[in-house]
Amino acid sequence: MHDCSLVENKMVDLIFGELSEDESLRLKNEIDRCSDCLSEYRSMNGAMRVFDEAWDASLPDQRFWPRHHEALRQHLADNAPRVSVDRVPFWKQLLTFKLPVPVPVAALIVIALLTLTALALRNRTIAPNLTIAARPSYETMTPPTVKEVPVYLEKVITRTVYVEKKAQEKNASRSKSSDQQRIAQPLTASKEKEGDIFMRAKLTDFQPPDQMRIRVIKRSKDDAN
Amino acid sequence: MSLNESQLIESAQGGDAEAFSQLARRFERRIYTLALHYTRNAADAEDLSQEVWLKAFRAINSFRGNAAFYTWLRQIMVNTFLNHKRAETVRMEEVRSAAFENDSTNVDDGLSFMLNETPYQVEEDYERRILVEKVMQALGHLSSQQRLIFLLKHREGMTYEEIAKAFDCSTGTIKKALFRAVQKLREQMGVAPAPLELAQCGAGQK
Repeated sequence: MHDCSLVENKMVDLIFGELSEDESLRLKNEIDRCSDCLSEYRSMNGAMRVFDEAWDASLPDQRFWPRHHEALRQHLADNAPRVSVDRVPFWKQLLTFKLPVPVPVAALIVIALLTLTALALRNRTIAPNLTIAARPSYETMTPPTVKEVPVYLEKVITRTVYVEKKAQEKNASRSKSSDQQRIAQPLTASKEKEGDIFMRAKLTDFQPPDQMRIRVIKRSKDDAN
Repeated sequence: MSLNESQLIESAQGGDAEAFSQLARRFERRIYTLALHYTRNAADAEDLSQEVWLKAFRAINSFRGNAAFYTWLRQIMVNTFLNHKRAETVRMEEVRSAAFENDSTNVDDGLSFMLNETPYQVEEDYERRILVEKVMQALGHLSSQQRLIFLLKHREGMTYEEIAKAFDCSTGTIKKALFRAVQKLREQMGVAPAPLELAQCGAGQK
């Protein structure tokens, strides 16, 4: 069944030689059988023929080409200088140097740099206080006080301190004076039982300086006897 | 590829501008004529064809000899033409379209600006001049892409596939563009369907 629109679509292929010999022949036969299609085909062919005639007529005169070639030759000579990499100054090479880095890696590097910068700035703001506290001048520093504290038995002292701390926690709500009496009583009692021959150092209200050197002298029961 | 051509290419790849200009001599007419019908202006055609050759010279080292030199050059030409259109021709086309529309009754006056710039003596043959004017005017009614597709197909003999590859689109798109281009050209050139003495076809009326 003949369809003019289908034939018209194929007509372009026929005009521009995109069909095989058999296809061309078949289409031409079909076009010949339809006056509309034949008229259309002739019209399109006629347009192409007019275009080709105009193309030939529009070609420049023979005198034009030597001038055209000379202009082209000159243009190439003027605008296509060979740029050697060696002739580029070193500083220019440095400025134009490109290092291909993947985007994720570049992003990580930037984040790391920003974090380090932020940390460095933060440390800088609090550094003076730390410096004064951690590094006092040796010239202005007071000499350490030496306090000799005789210790009878290490065990006894450890226990005494423990008892004292425990009692403080339990009797936190009680008055200070009653606390001292209650704490001192078991200490004294335990010492008296074991036979205290040394004078005990009273550490109550003792205010140590910033630095203190404590010499601990260990002695046994035998030494006391 | 003849030996002489391959030698010229080799020399050009070594940076010999003179060798490249000798190579250009073989195809410069073809490139210029296409550029002339694409731009429809002698000065623009001169600039555009020189741009094509300059780009080709700069890229000559990328030519590996897998295809013919002209095939390689033609791809550069298509890209350059399309880029030229995007950069410069839009404004010119608007000006020319306005001129065509204003002076459509007088073809000679309407295209005189273009013909005055052409390097050849069209004044010697008035009929020839009218024909060229008419065709150039008809080409002006095509879009830049339609015009280039039509020129590549009709004058360069490229296949649908080659053009589609050059334009990075489907062959169907190329075929449609060609069909529209031919229809527009026929309409603008005033080529009416020929009167026929055959009986009217009753089937498949449009």
